[in-house]
Amino acid sequence: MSRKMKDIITAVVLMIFGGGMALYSLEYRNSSTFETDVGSNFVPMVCSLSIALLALVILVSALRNKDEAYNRNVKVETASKVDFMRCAASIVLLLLYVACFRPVGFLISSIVYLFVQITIFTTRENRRWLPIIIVSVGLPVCCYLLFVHVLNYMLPAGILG
Amino acid sequence: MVTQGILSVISSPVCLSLICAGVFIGIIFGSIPGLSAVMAVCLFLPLSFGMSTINGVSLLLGLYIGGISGGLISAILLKIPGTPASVATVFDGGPMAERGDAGKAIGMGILYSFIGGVLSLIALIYLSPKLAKFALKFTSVEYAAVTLFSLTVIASLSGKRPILGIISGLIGVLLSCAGDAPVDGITRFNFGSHLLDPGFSNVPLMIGFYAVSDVFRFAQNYHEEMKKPQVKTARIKGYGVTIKEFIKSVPVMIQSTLIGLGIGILPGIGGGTACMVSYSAAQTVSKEPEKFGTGCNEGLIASETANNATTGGSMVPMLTLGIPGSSTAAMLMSGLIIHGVTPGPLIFRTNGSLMFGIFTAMLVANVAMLIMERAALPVFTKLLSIPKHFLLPCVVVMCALGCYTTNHVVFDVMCMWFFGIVGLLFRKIGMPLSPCIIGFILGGSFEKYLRRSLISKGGSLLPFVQSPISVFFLVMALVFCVVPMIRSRKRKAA
Repeated sequence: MSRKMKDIITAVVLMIFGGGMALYSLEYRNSSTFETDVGSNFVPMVCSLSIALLALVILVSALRNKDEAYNRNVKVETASKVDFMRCAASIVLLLLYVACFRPVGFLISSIVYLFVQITIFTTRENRRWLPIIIVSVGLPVCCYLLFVHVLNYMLPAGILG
Repeated sequence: MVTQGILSVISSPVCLSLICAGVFIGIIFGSIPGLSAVMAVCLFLPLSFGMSTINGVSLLLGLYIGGISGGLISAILLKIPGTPASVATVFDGGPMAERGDAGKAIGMGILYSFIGGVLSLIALIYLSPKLAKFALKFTSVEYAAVTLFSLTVIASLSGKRPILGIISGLIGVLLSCAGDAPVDGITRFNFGSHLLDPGFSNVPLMIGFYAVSDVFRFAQNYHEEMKKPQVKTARIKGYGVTIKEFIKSVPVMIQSTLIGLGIGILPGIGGGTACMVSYSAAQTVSKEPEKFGTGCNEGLIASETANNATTGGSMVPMLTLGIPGSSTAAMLMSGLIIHGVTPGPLIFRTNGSLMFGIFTAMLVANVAMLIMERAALPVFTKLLSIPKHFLLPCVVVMCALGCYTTNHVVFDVMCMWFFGIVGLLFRKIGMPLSPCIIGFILGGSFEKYLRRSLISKGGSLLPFVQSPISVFFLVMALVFCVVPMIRSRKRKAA
């Protein structure tokens, strides 16, 4: 993808975002009971419209830019398929961890998260199970004991509660 | 009265031990992303009730000073600002650690935190009544001007493409608009969910942007990251600052102390604003502004001196006017009130010896922080030798814990994940992250003070140019916007 195309896509997405937020801000007009107040929609409206306007500037300057290097397709060292999958897996895994935080509990969800995430972050060559298990179990247990029993914080106990 | 106050601290082994314990625990709280000085003080506040007044307050002060200073450790080593007060420390501390100067960066951070803390303490002792009078001159008009001026920091942090930096800052301000609006309390941008009624918290946003997006980026560039040779951290002598470097840093140090102190005395503004304004001011007056953000000493000095200078500054309105300048100051004030001490203009007359006891405890806490953090420096830098595939998942778990314990809602942990993805997208399109954080931290305050001033002044903008303080900050805002632009043009022309 050329830098030009990247800028065009960025600008279009930002324009849609800015425009959408500006429309959403309209919901809050005339909200204030004070006559001299600018209202709750003033700051969001100014910000949203400014984002849309600045995105338009990016779009126009991208379309007008005739620089060869800017228009040329750059062979970017894109992440390999395996690395892309590793990133996607990390995103999904963290989402699952967050979703399980309360129902399963901090302790078990953290142990499972750490074990799987470290496994994702290691290859067959550098994967040693013993340190992975020690870290995966040790850190959540230490945190749990410190927060719950020393600092008297309430952490989600989940299925252990 | 003075001697009695000083002796109540230094002649009591119990009091000295409590200060040291407070500083130690505070450093731990400050260094873990998501945990903060406020949480440490909040947690130990009930424990202080059973102690004598000076012992209880000394423990809380130790926690406060240790907690504020401890933020520099995660900011430098992990590039995760645990609190808004250490956001600017990441800009230069992070690159210094990347090139193997983590020891020097932390050493400098500790030293200048100490200097900032002690200089602000001196100001607190000698100038507190005058500073309090000055703080009272600030109405919502002046506050709006200060926050607008602070927002201009975005201009100097926008990197090579200022337009993307400004958009990033505007997105930050928009994010700060979610939840209950100031003045009329209208709930905005909650997308039908009551979980968003209080708005987004600082901690999930900062952690998501810096820590979680970094984990995703590491996964995406896994093979390249694993090929990178491990950076060896250079050992340092003392605090890693030579006499020549120290002398060179004196103007930045004094300027940052004054900024930290000045912003610290203003109730409701705090260390986050102080460190960013100080960083931007140091960059504007520097002869080599292009070095900021690449791991230069001045940037780190500006941030760390200013954020610790707010510790003394925030005590001024709390002690002399009974107005807590920050949430930590509010905790300390409640501790004093429970012990039967009422902060206010008469505090020096009614509790004079206790006041000098408090000042001595602050000084001892700063010294304890200086010694303890230096002693633990080799341990801190060892963190960098942990392989990233182990370190990053552990950081995520600690961050999730920090996010959860801030408000005890899982929604904050969910926000951390969401902002991690947003941060990854920002990195992909080359949009700087820091303007968004600044916009988020300052946006809410700016809107609140702007609306309050317009309501109180009948909708007129004239008071903004009639108040000398407001004019000063507006002119400074203009200077801070224009100077980087002129410099950028000059560089392009050259």
